[in-house]
Amino acid sequence: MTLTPSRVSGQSCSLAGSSSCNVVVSLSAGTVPYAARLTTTATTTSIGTLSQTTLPAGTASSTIVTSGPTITANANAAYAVTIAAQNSTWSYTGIFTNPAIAAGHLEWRVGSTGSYTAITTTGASILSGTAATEKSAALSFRTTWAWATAKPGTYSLPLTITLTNP
Amino acid sequence: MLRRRFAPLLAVLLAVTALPAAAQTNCSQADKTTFNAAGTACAMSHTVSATVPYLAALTASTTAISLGTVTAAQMTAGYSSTVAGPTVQVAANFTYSLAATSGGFTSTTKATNDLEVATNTTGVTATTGFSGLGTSVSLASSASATSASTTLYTYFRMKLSWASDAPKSYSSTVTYTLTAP
Repeated sequence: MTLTPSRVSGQSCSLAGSSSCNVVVSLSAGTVPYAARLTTTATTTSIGTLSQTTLPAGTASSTIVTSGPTITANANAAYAVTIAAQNSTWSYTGIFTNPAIAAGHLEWRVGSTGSYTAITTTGASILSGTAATEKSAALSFRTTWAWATAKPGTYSLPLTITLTNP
Repeated sequence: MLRRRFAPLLAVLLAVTALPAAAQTNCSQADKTTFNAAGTACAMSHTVSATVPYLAALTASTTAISLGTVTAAQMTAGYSSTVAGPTVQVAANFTYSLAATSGGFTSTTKATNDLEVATNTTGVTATTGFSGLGTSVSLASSASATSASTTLYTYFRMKLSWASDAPKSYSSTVTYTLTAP
C-alpha cells in the first residue's frame, strides 16, 4: 500500500523553468486590542471612628487626613486615570434622618504635597502616561466632618477609578 | 508551651487577614470607543467609609457653689438667697435633652425637693421658674446638633423652714445628664 501526501489547499509549486519552489504564506497576527492594566493596593479606605480628638467640641467642623490606595496603571497606548464619586452624597446607615453629606466632603490629592481637590461625580485626572509606561499615584484623602451634620451612624462613599485612552 | 509558641504566628496571620484587599483589573477592547465607554471602560471601585459615634461634650463652669449662711430673714421668707450656679454648655452631634438630678442632702432628712434650680440663657438672676430637684428637672432640649450650644445659666436656692431645718451644714450633689432622645 502506498501513502501519498495530499496537497495542502492553497499551496502550489512548479519546478518548470525554475530551480526553486517558493510557497508564500500570509500570516495574520489578528487585531491588537486596546489593552491596559489597572491595579490598586486596596479596594477600601477606612477613615475609622470619629472621636472628640478628631472632632473637638466648640469647633464647628474639622478635617481628617487618611492615606488612600496607590493606583498603578499601564497600557499599550497613551492613557489617563481619573477618580470620581459614584454618588453625589455619602451613603448613611443609622437611626437618624440621612444628613446627605455631600460627596465633596471627601477631598483627594496625589502624594503628600499640593492642595486637595473635592471629589465630584465627574472624573478628575490623577495620573496619565504614555504607551508601555507604568505609572503610579499614591492617593491621600481628607474628609470634613461637622457637629451639625455628622449624625451618629456609618458613612460610605464608593469611588470609581477609570483608565481611558484619551 | 505549644500554645505560647503558636500565639505570635496566629497574631501575624490575623494581622495579614485584616489588610484591605488589593485589586487588579486587566482590560482589553478591540476599539477605542468601547474601551472608553461607560459600562465597558477599564474601571474599578474603591469605597471610603467612616463611623461616627454619639459625640457629646458637657461642660460646667464650676463644680461647687455655696448658698451661703442662711439668715433669720430668709428663714422667715422660706427661701435662701438665689445663687448663680455653673454655666453649662453642650456640644452634641444629635438632638439632646439635658436634665438635672439630685441625690439628696447628705447627713440629714431634709427633703431633696427643697433644693431648687432655675435656668435661663440671659444670665439675669432668676426670680421665677424654680423646680425642686426631688425629681429630674429638664434644663434644656435641642432641636438640632451643635458644636457649641447657647450658654445655659443655672440658679439655685433652698427652701427653708423654722420647724425642720436644724442648725448645721447642708450639702447636696447635683448631676447634669445629657441624653439622646
